[in-house]
Amino acid sequence: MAVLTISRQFGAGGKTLGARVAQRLGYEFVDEGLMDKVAEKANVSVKWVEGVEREAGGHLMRFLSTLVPSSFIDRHLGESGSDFDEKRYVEFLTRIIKDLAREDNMVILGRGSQFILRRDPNALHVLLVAERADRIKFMVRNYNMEPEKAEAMINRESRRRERYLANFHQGDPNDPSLYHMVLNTSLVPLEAAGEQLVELVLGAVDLSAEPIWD
Amino acid sequence: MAVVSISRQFGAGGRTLGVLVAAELGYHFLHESQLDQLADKAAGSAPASEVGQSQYRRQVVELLTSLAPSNFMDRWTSPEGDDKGHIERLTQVVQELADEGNVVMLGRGSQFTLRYRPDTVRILLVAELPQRIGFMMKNYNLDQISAKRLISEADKKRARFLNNFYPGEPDEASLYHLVLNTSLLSLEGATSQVTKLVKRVEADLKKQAQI
Repeated sequence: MAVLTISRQFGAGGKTLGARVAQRLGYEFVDEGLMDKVAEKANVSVKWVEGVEREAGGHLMRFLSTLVPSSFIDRHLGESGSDFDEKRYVEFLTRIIKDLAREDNMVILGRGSQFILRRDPNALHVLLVAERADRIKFMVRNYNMEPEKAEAMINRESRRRERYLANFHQGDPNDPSLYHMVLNTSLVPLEAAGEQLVELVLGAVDLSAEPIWD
Repeated sequence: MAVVSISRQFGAGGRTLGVLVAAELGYHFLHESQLDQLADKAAGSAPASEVGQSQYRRQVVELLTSLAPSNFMDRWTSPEGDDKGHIERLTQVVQELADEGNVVMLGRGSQFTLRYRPDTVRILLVAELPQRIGFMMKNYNLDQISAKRLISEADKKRARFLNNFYPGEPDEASLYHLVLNTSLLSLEGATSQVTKLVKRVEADLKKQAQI
C-alpha cells in the first residue's frame, strides 16, 4: 500500500521501468501521457473538469483511461505558452496527482509528482539517472530512433523538464536528497533496477521516520 | 567476489550500514580511518610472489584488527592529512584491497579510485540538511549553530579532499550505482537495498566468468 513516484532524466528508462514495477506490484501505472490527456481537457473547459471531478468521485482512474490521446504539451510548455496557461496547467496537474495518490497503490511517472507528494507519508520517491550516451542508446534501441533524433529529443525533453519543474520552486530536481533512492540505469540493468524498486515499495511498511542511523 | 564503496555526506550516517552490509555479505569492513592508517603503514608493500602475497594478506588482516576506527569528531576537526604522498598511498591501498575482493570500504575517495572496476558497487548516502543537523546535535551533543557550522565546514573539507580524485561535484548521482537517503529510509531497508544489489552484481560477474 503505497504510492511510488518516478522522476527521471529523459531516456533513463522511466516508462519501461514504471510499467514493469506497477505490473509486479499490481499497482496502477499512470504515465505522463495519461495525465496530459486530462490536463488537455482541462484546458478545453474548466467546467468540463469540474464535471469530471464531480462524476469521477474517488474513481478518477476509470475516467482517465477512457480519454482520447493527444499531444499538447508543446502548446503549454513550448516557447509560445503563456505564463497563465502554464500556471493553470501546473495547478491542475497538482490536483490530479493528489487525487491519484489518495486512491493509493499507484506508480506515477513524472510531472512534478515528487514535489507535489513530497511530504506525503505514503509516497516513495525515486529518481532514475543515466549517462547521456546511454540515454541516447536507450532511445535508439527501445523506440527505433535515429541517434541524431534521439539526441535532439533528449535535449528538448531535458530543457522541458527543467522548465516545468521550476514551477514548483523546490530546488534542483536532480538533488538526490529529494528522493528516497536514486538508481543509475547506466550501471544497474533495468531488470535489476525493477527488482530494487519492488523491494523498496514492499519494504515500505518498515519505513520509519527515524532520524539518520549511524 | 565484489567490492562495495560507500560514500556519504557528513552527518548522513552510514557506519552502521557499512558494518551490516559487510556482515550480511561475509565481507571485510574498512572504516575511513582504517584506510588512512593502512595507507601510512602498508601501501605498496604487496609482494609479487604468491608465498609473499599470502603472508602479506595475513599481515594486512593483523594490522586491520589492531586498527580501531579513530574518534569520528577528531577526524573531521583535525587538520587534513591529504598531502599528495598520502593520497597516492591511499589510492594504492584501496586498489590492493579491492584486488583481494569481498570488502566494504567507507569513503576516502574509493568511489573514484575504483570507478572503472566492474566488480565495484558504488553507493552514496545523502540526507536533507535539517536532518543532518539534527543528527549531529543528538549524537554529539551540539547546539544547532555549532552543528550547522560543523556540517558546513565538513562539507567543504570533504569536497576539497575528493577534489584530489575527481574534478566535478562528488554528489552527482550518476557517479554511483545507487544513492540512498538516510533521512527517509530505515536502516534495514537500506541494508537490504545494498546487499541485494551486490548479490546481483556478484551473480553477473560469476556468469561472465563462466563465459
